[in-house]
Amino acid sequence: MNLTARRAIDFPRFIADLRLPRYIDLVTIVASRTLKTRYRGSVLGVYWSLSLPLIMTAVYSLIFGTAFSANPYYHGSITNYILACFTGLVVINFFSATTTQALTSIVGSGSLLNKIRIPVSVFPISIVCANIFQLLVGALPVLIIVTLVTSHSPINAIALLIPLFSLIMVSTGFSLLASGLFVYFRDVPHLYEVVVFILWITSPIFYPPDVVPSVIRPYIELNPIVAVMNSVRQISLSGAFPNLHMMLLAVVSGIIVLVVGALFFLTIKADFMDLV
Amino acid sequence: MPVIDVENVTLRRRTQEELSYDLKRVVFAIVENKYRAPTKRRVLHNVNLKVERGEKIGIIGSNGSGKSTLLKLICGILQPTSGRIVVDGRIAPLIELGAGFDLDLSLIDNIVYYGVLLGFTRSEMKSRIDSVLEFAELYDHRNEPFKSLSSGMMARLGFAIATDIRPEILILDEVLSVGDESFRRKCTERIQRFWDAHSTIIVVSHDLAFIRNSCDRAIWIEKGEIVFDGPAAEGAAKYLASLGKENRARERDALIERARTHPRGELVVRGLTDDPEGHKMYLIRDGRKFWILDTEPYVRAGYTWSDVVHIDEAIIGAIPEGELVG
Repeated sequence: MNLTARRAIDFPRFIADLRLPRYIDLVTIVASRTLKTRYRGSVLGVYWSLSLPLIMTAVYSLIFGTAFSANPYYHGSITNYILACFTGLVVINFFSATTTQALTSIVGSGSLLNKIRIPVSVFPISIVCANIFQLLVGALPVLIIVTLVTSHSPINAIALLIPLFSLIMVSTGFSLLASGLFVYFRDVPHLYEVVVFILWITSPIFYPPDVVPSVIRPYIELNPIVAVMNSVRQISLSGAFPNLHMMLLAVVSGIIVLVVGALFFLTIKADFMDLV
Repeated sequence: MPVIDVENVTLRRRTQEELSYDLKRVVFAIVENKYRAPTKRRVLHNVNLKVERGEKIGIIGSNGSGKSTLLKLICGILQPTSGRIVVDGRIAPLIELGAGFDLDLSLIDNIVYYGVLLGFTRSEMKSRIDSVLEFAELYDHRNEPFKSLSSGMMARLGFAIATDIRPEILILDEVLSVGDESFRRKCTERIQRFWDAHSTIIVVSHDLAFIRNSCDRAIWIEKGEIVFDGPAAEGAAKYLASLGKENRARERDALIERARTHPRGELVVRGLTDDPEGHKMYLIRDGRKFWILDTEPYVRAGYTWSDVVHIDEAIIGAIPEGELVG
C-alpha cells in the first residue's frame, strides 16, 4: 500500500504516478482482468484471436488470390499471396483491436477513477498489454515458424521482434490519443472508425503495393503501419537477411506516433477527472 | 507535524452541463467563430485544514457543499486548482464499497484486483486472500464469480478487503456497517479497533449522533468553504440549528426533482428523518415509479418520505439492501 509517504500534490502528477512497482501492479491486474473476462477461464480462448486473421486470409485469398498473384506480383505464387495477406492482417488486426478497445477504456472506468486514485493511463496501457499477451501466445509463434521456414535463420526470427515492438509503439500512441479524445468528445468512436478504415485500406494488406498509382504511393508511406508491415514481411517472408533500413523506418514511425500520443495525453489529462 | 495539511486549497471544476461532448459540434463552432471556452465552477474555496496524527474528524454539511470533494482531494483523486495538500502516511479510501469489483471474476481474483486498486501490492493481496475470505465469511464462495453474490455479501467482501490492513489514515464516506446484523457487529468492532488504535480517521456522515459521539472534531463545510472547525458536539449542534424547516423542504423537493429527471436508470436519494438519532431513508427510482426503501424499520413505524428532513448525496446506481415499501 503505497498511497504515498509524504506526497506533495503540487508536484507534477505524472512524475508521482511513475512510481513503477505500483504502476506495474495496476497494469497487471487490469490487463489480466481484461483477459480473464474475455475468455472466461478457457485457455483455448486466447487462440480464438488467431482465427480472425486466418479466416480473413482465407476470404481474401479466395476472392483476390488468383487475380493478385498473377505475374509480376508475389512472384506469381498464391502461397506468397496467402502469407503476405496473413502477416498484413496480423499487424493491422493487432492495431485496430488494441486501439478500438483502448478508446473507451478511460471513460468506461470513470466511476472507478472517481473513487480511487489511479493514474488514468493505466487503462489504455492495460488494454495494450492484454493484446500483447494475445499476440505472444497466438500469432507470434505462427509468424516465427513462417520466418524459420522461409529464411532458415534464427536471426530473422529474433529480428522480427523489432518491427513488432514498433507496432506496439504505434498502437500505444494511437490508444492514448483516442482514449484521451473520447473523454472530451463522445462522438470520437464514429470518427475513429473512419481513421481505422483509412489506415486499413492504405496498408497493402490484400493487394500488392505496386497497384497503387505512383503519384499516390508516397502519401501511403505516411501511414505508420505501412513501415511496420513492410519490415515484418521483409523479415518473415523474403528469406533474406533483415533489412536494417526498413527496420529503422518502422522504429522511427513507432517512436514518432508514441511520442505524439503521449504528449497529447499528458497535455489534456488535467481536465480528465472533471469529465469522466 | 500534521499528517494531513491542506493549505489554501481552491478547486475549480468544469461543469458537466457545459460539456458539448461532441467533436463535430466543437469544430463547427470554431469554424463559425462561436466557440467559447468551457467555464469552471468553484467547488472549494480557500480551504485550510490541519489534521494531527490520531485525530477523529467528522465532516458535515449539506448536500453538494463539497464534503466528498474534499475527501477526494485528500485521497489524491482530484488535484487542487491552487494551494497545496501534503499527506504523510498511507491512506485507505473507503469510499462507496464495492465500486471496484469485476462481476465476472472469481472472489479470489476480485480480492487481489480490488486490493491493488485500493493501493496494496499484488503480492501483499495474494497473501491476504484467506484472511479476507475468513472475515467476510465467504470462504465457500471463493471460486464463484462475484456476480453470484448477494449485495450484502458484496458489501461484506468490500469491507473485509479495505480494512484488512490497518491504514494510518482511514477515510470513510458514510460506510460504517454493512450486511446483516451479525456482520454489522463485526464491522463496528473492526472500525472501533481503528478508532482505539490511534489511527487518523476522517469521516463524512450525516449521522450527527455518530459524529457527536465518536469524533473529536467537526468540520462543517458550506458552499465550498469551511464555516466551522471545532469540537464535534458544538459543530453538530450548530449545523442542526442551521437546518431551518423551509430549507429542508426545498432541498428535499430539489432532489426528488433531480431523481425524476435523471436520465440514467435508477437513482437513490438518501435522507434523514427528523428523529433525534437521524436515521436514514432511501428513495429509489425504479423506472418511473418511486419507492421508499426501508433499511431501518422507519417506514413501518409510520414515517413517510415527507418526514425526511435532510437529504444526503444522491447515489446513482447503488441500491442498498432492504425492503421496498410502495
